[in-house]
Amino acid sequence: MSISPAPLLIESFEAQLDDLLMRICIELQLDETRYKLAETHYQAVGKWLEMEGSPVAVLNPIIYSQGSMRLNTTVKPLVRDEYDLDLVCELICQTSFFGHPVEALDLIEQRLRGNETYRPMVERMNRCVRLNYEHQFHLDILPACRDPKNGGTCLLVPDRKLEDWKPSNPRGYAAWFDSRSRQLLVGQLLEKAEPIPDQEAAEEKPPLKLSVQLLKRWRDVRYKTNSDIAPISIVLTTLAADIYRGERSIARSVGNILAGISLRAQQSYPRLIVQNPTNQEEDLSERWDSKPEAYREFVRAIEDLETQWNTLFQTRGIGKISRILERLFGEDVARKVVEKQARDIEAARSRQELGMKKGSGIITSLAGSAIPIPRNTFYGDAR
Amino acid sequence: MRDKFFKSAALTFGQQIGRMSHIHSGFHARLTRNVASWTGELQPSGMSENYMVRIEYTLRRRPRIWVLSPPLRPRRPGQRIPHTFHDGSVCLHLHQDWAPAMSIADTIIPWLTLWLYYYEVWQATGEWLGGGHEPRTRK
Repeated sequence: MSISPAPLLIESFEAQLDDLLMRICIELQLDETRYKLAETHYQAVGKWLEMEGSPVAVLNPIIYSQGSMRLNTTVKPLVRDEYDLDLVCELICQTSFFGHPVEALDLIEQRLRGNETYRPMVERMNRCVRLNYEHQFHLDILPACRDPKNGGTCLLVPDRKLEDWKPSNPRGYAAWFDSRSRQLLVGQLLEKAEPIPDQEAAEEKPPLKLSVQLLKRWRDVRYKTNSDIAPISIVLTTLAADIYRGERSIARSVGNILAGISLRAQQSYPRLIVQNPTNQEEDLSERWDSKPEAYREFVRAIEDLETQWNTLFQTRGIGKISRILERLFGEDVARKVVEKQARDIEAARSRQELGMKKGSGIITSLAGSAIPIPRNTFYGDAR
Repeated sequence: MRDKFFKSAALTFGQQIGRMSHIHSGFHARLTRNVASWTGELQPSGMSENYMVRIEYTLRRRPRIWVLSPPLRPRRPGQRIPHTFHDGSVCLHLHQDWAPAMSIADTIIPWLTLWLYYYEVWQATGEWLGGGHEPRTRK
């Protein structure tokens, strides 16, 4: 996933900012090597589950990714190494196959514990069985049965705490999200059912997906010390996708999403309701009911971010802009991307590909009426 | 190539001023008895600030370059700004990079816009990524 953007990416404010934002996403997302590794691992898990002699085999389990891995919106966690990757283990049976919802979780857990490699990695969670790959990722395996009542891609998943089955539709959600993200990029092309895509490199990635990554990263930074009241990823993702209108620029897309959230919050009383697009009855933001302070803080946080985002557009000076990005997305990643952008410019300079625009002085690629920048060696004197 | 230029005659003030006004028409030129000077604005990249800069050229001498505004600032108090001279003027090139037969408009100005870009990146990262050579600071 090496990239070397054309130097003209620093010619306009928006292109230069978009390039930095895109690089932030590249830094934060699951890299290709680890993405492939996760795939290999979960396919191996799938084989172990469907192997002859496995009690799960009769249920024809199919494993596939959901959530951020499926949507290509992964973001490196702020404090630990491991990415959270969610997988569905779809079982070809109805919920009545199990006497109790927890039995579905137990079935997967027991089968995994029967494998020497997986045994020390297994952890029980509320809705899934987790496999811990240290310093890499968690694979959260969520057993699911088909939902005959709602049909289509609708599923029912066991919930340990509620001791019940909950509706879910990860494939339907992903299809909705992808169609939202392709609004402009593929225009009117008919949407077709697609297999799990290879992770898109960020530079080919639709602006919506990059916007979601940035919002999630901002959330992690902003709520570093009070993560218990942070908005959950699916709420941010759904709001962003619902509001997105096909902007090409990442910076503008984020700005419009923020303005849209603010507007909806102002128009909603007592609070904004984020519906599941694949199940209108499901309120993805239901936890704001029990935590009104979390909702108030969310509205405040979005307003703050909107203000800072507008400030960003008004600011000039790479140093000043870098400091805003540091506050929003973390010091290390912001500095790293400014440096990487400059190193690409420096590489183009060493290939003698740089020129400057007449009039403004803006550095550009050596084409048209640009004035070539001859070789030089910056110097100085001792103090 | 450079040797050929070096041996060739220095460009006259008239030639330097003519080339400057042709390429950088926004720059304001001034000629006193033996010093030509130009003041104008440069913005090295879309995100960058607009810098008011000044070039002073005494015939056959090294052009001297100043950033007037916004003023150059160290990242921390007392820190020195890379690739500047003791008097605060900007150092764009080694002695042998430039000769009076060269047009200021085609050399000094493009180098200055590059310098301003790397200066801003240095402000952001603390690293001078534009390469170059700097004598060691005296102990």
